[in-house]
Amino acid sequence: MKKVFSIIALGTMTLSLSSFTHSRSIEFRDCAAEAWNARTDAQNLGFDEGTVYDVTDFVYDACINGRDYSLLMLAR
Amino acid sequence: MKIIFILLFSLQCFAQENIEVIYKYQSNFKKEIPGNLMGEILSKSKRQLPKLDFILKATPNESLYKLEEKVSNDGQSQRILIMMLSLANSKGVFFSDVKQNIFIEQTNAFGKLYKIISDFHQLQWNISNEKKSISGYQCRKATLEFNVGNENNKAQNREIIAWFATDLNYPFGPLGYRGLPGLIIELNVNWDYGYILKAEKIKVLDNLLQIEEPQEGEIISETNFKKLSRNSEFNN
Repeated sequence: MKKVFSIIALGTMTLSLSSFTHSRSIEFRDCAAEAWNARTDAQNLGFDEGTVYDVTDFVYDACINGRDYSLLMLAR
Repeated sequence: MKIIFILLFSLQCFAQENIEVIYKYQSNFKKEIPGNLMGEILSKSKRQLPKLDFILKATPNESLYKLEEKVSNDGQSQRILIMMLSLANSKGVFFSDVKQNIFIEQTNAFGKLYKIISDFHQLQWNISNEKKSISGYQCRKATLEFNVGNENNKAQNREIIAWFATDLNYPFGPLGYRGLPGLIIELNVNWDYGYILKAEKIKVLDNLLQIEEPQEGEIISETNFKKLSRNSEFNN
């Protein structure tokens, strides 16, 4: 639960800061922002909070471990 | 001889039959799949979930419903599977005890394993006179409506349509939908990215079925779990 709350807090901060900084390094992945976006998409589509949590957690975890979740989706 | 016949006949009448039902998932999306990560997850679910078997074991008094294969939290493919199951509310184990009026959902939620306890008799079904035959069973229609969020988001509205067989006197069904006067043969969870769970095989068992209540997980009432769920929201 704490992890997802941290993502929410970091995501909000990142989105606020992104209006001030436009340059992004190619190697840099903003995991909090990626997780935040996934969370917002899941909520807007109408999934329940349990599912929203699972999606957010999965995206954040894949991101911090340097995994491309789009490729993970294609596997098997 | 007459007495033995009567005795055997009586035993047959009182013998409680047990059943094992395999349900299969089928997507029933009413909206186009979006072109983002959620869309990719939905597409993968649409492809993968129909390959899985969900099993309901039931006596006339108790039932247990879960995914047949064991899911662990280890490994990426298992995590993806859990997420896909979450999209169809199917990652938990659902236990019912009619006599004790207990319903338990054991599920991993918000990073913790819970045993969510509620009453068996609580779903306010609306039973209609509409009937249809499914897999040789004459079924009646029942509906249920609710919102899975805090009522503000209309996309979180769900309409449940259950087709139950009055010939099969088991008040159970998939995903803990229960309390109808017959086994749910087909369950339609209607919303933008809805799905259908349909009984593919129904096996009547002669042997005694042992149905065990889930043991692990922090015990929480359904009311408190809903509060926990609302607290995790970050809605406007």
